[in-house]
This record gives sequence, structure tokens and C-alpha cells, in this order.
Amino acid sequence: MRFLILFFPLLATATADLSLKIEDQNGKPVEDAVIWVPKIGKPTPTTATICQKQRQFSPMVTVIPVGTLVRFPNRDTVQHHIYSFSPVKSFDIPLYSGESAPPITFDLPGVITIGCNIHDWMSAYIIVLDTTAFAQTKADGVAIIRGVQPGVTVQVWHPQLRGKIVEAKAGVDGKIELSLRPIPRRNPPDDSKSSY
Amino acid sequence: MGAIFLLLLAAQGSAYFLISAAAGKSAQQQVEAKISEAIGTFQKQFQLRLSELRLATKLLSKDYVFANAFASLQNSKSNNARETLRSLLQNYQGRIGSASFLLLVSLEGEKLADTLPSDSAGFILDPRLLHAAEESPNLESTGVIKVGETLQYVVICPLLMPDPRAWIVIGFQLDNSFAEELKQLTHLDIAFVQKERIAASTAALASKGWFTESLAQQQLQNVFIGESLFLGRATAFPGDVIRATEIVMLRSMEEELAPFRDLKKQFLWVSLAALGVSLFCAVLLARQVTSPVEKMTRGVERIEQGDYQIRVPAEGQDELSRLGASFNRMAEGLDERDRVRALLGKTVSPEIARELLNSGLELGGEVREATILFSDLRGFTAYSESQTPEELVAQLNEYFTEIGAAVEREGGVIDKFIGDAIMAIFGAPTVASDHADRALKASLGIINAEDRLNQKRAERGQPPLRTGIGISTGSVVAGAIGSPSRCNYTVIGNAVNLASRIEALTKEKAFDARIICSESTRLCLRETYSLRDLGEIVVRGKELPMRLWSLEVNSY
Repeated sequence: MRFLILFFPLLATATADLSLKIEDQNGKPVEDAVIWVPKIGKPTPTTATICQKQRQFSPMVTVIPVGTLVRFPNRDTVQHHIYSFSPVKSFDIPLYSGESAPPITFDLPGVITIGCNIHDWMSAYIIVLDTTAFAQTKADGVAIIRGVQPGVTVQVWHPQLRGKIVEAKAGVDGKIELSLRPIPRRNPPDDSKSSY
Repeated sequence: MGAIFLLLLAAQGSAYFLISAAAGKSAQQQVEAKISEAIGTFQKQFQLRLSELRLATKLLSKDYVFANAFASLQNSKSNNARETLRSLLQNYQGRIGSASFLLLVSLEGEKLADTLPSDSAGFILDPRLLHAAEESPNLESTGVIKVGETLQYVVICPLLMPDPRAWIVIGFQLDNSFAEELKQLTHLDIAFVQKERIAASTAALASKGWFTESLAQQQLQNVFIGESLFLGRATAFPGDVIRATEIVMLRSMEEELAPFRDLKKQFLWVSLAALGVSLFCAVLLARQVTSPVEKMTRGVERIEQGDYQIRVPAEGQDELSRLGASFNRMAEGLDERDRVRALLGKTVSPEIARELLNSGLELGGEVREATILFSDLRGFTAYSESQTPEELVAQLNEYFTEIGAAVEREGGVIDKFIGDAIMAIFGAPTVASDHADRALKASLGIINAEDRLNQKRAERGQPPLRTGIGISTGSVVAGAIGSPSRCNYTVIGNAVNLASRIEALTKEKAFDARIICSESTRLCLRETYSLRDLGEIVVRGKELPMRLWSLEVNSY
């Protein structure tokens, strides 16, 4: 896996925030990449919500500190059956509607992939971190990790890394290039010609 | 005839070979077309089979129970979980009718569970297939691989939970029965060939125990399998990422050419029949020509030998028949001429007949020195009155036969019969210088013959005959004398009259002579005869007396 970490000179200030821009092998900004520096600070558990809306998980990528409680409200008129086979946290919430799904606490760090047994294309990712130093890229591919000195090696995760977590160091321009690979389309059948 | 036969043979032969060549070329084109069509059929058929497998993979890839079973194995690593997974795979294989095996491998390629036969325990999935699947947007790949001893077309898909967590492999066996199935559709022999070795094929090829030659893809090639010639073309399996296996479609030229061979056989028979018939006709025709010609040749030979009775067949209107008719007319003409000549020889002496024929019966004559002999039966006129005409003719014929023979013996020619008298010529028409001697000898011969005849007559109780002979020599005119439409060969002249007159003298008792000749005859004699001088006598019709001589019969 090839990567480059470059500092943004303007952002490399005394506030000691790590500002990164994640790009793919074609130079396109990468959204929903999760970058973190492990074991910094004491993460404070909180709550998060991953709802099912229009037969999609929303949001698709959720980053949470260890011990966070996650709710899975169903905002669709159809039932869902969500599950995880991830070793970190596997669960199975059979057919339910509305708010009836029990919230789940994610007490171990790791990546959890959530699927729906009714709708093949539905998937969501929960990245459970034991650190306070993390960020998630927006559509512009930019992420800022507060309180971290530039030059630090970071961990990067993205769905198109296909389950792998890569270590990376930004270059002087603050860019990290990820080599992404295609993954099966994740759209409902009426939206696209999805295969899976 | 032979040339025409050979020409026909050449024409038939070249037609035969042209048909053969055209049949070969047409067969090749037909095979080419058939194989092209068959490749299309195969691809369609195979895609159908493939889509069936893909459907199965889609269902399996998202199957929640499968995912659960897999997760259970991942969590416990127990044999029970492994067996459960294997049992589940067997269950799914049952659902997918055409699948020959199901296999689950980890993302790293480690075999987790399978329904493979026990002999493929050491089987490792070709990493190229996994690599190709990883690289494809749908995380899917296909290829032909060898599993144990069998060729398998495999479809690889991920087990999605919902992330890919393992690889599902579904196999479809490329075996002899699949080859046969394709043969049903394409009417071609099929072989699945890996590394130039047949892994499976239709029965026709398997029985030949064949290892293929290297076949360039998409190119029609002659392939010898055992002793048989096939036309074949290799093509790849759709979507095969391994690319080590080809499907080869073959058509036996022997089978392809079978209808042409029948046609050729029929043509050969027809040709042979035509040749036979033409040969028969030729022989028949030859016979029709040669047979009359042979008959004609034999006829000519017979004519050459003097047989003018021969006739050849002359029915019909063709040239040979007309020739035959001409031949027959010629033979008739010759026959008639021969008969005329024979008749002429009877009515006149053969010498005269020959002379007449040679002279072309033209009137005219030439002067010859000749001796003329006249003979006459004494007292026959009186005797004849007591005889019936038949008896008379019979006796005369007997007499003339005898004396005629005596005359002819000496080369004399009987010019004419006058009642019971004859006139004979010596020295004409055939020249003989001793004509006087011949006449005398002939006269003696006549008397001798008469004596012998008289003995016979005496035995029969008939009275004896007595002949008187007059001989004279002189210049005569000999030739065809008469009218243009009717003439005789004869001699005229003084000697003729004299001989006749002298003969009359033999009746005179005073002379007592049976043969009297003139002085002119005596002067011509070369030999000596017993002649008695009768003195100078005035012969009737002559003014001057002349010396006559009696030839003494006993002296001869």
C-alpha cells in the first residue's frame, strides 16, 4: 500500500492540529475516510444513531469512541433485519419497525460492518476507536485531527480499502494517497443495476 | 471404335475427378460454416449455463444462513461448525442442478469447506482466479481449472456479510457427457483440450485415444485423429481467466464426405454402365460393319477361285448393303459370262469360243494357211429312216463324241456339225504349222474310233457305221462371219469346198478309199504316211483335174 503524508504549511501551527487531505490513486478527494492516531487521550462514551431511511443506512460511516451506545431507528415503512458478523461485535436484530430495536453498546475497538438481511445492498460501518484523536473526511477529502502534532503516523480506514486498516504518514503538503479498489455497488435495485 | 471408347473413358474419368475435387472443396466450406455456426451455438448455450451458475452464486453470496454458518465456523473453528458448513454446501449443490461441486475458501485462498470428492483433498484453487475476482468490480471471476482428474468451469463470487468474507466457488464439470450434449446441438465432435491433451470429448474422439496437435485458435485446421481426418477449430471458453483450456470442435471429413462418396459410387456405377453399354454398342456396330466386309472378302476370294455362285447379304439401305448388292450383281455378271463361255464352248469348240471372246465378236477375218477336214457317214441317211428321232440323236451323239474327241486330240477345231457330217479346221483359229499332219492323224483317229464304236454297236446289234473323210489344204479366210447381231467363227475358201468335194469321192467304189486328201495337203506333210496315189481327177465344180491321195488306214 503506497501512501504519502504531507503537511499543510499554513495549518501546521502552534495549535498543533493535524490537517490532512486524503486522495485516491487518481487524485480525487476521498469522502468517508476515517483517520486516527491510536491510544491518545481517554475516549468518552457517548451515543450515536444509525437510522434506516429509504432502505439505506444513514450515515454509512459512523466513528465512535469505545463504549458508545448506538441506536438503530427504522424510519422506513418496511421492516429491516440488521446484523453484524464482525468478530468485534456481532449482533442480529430480526425484523423490526420504528424504535423497537434495542440500542447496542460497542465496548471494543474495531470495525463493524452492518448489513440488512432483507436488503442486500444496505450496509453501514461503525469504527469504534480507543482514542480521542480521530477525524472523518468530508466530500472534499479533508480531515483535521485536533491536538496532534504533524508528522505522526496515522491509521486510515475506508470501505474501499476492503476491510484493511492502513498506517500512513502525511507528506509536506498534508496529503495522503489511498489506493482504493472498487466494491460492489450499494444502491437499491431501483436506483441502479446493483449486483449484490 | 477404340478411340471413341477411350474418349468416353477420358470424359467420364475427368468428370469423376472434377466431382471429387468439387465435393472435397464444398465439404470443407460446409464444415467451415458448420463450425462457425457451432461456435455461436456453443457460446449461446454456454452463456445460458453460465447465467444459471451466476444466479446461483448471487443467491448464495447473500445467503444469511450461509453467512451464519460461516460466522459460526469463524467463531468456533469446531469440526461441528465445519461439517455443518459442508452439509450446507451439499444442500445448496442439490438446489443448483448443474453444479458439480461447491467450495468455500477464505479471502486468502485457504479451503474452508467443500463438496469435492475425497480424491481432491489437496486441491488448491488457482490464485489467478481469486486475483481476477478481487480485481473485478463485482468481485467475480470465471475460469477453467483441473480438479482432480476432471476439468471444471468455475464461477467465483464473494460471500457477502455484507462485506466479502470468503470466496464461494461453484464448479461445472466439462466432461464427456457435456461434450455429447454439445454434439447434440452442434452436430460436431467436441473435445476439451488442456495442454494439448484431451481431458474430455465426445465418444467418437475418445475411442481414438487422441492427443491433439497444437491448434491455433479461431483457425480451421486439418487434424488427424488416429487414421481419420478431421477439420477442427479451437476456441476459448467464455470468461476463462486461466486460458489453459480450449474447446475444439471437429467434424469428421469421412462423415462429411459420406453423401459425396455415395454420389461418387453411383456416378462410378453409371459411368461403368455407360462404358459397358457403349462398348457393347461399339462391338455390335463393328460387327455390323466388319461382318459384311468379311463376307465380302470371302466372296471376293471365292470369285478369285472361280466360284461365281457366291452371294453376300445385301438387305438394307446402308452403304455396305449397296456394296453387297453391287458385289452380287458383279458375281451374277461373272457367273453369266462363265455360263455363256461354257455354252459357247459347247456350241462351238473351246478354241473358237476363246477366239470369239477375245476378238470381241467383231466381224472380219484374216487369211490363214489351214487344212480342212470333212467327214460323213456313209448310208446313214437310209439307216436313219428306220430309227426313231431319239434313237437317231443318241446314236449320232455317241458317234460325234467319239470322232469329236479324235479331232480335238490333234488340235483340230470342229467348225460345224452338218447332219451326220462334220467340218473340222486345223491351223485356225490357233496357228499350227503342222496342220496337214494333224488333219491326217485326226482322220486316222476318227477311223480308229469308229472301229471301236462299231464293235460296241455290233454288241448292241446295231449295224456298223462307215465314215468317209476328205482333207484339203490351202489359204482360207478365218474369222467371225455373219451379221453384226449374229455371226459365226468359220473359215471360207477353196480348200473348204475342195475338202467337201473330196469327201464325196470316198463313196466311189473305184477308189476304195476311206480317207482322201488333196495334193496340196500332201505337199504340206512333214511326216510320212501311207498314201496311195489316186491319180489326176477332175473334182466336181473344178475345171482342172487334180491329183488326189488315199490315206491307207491300215498303214497307220
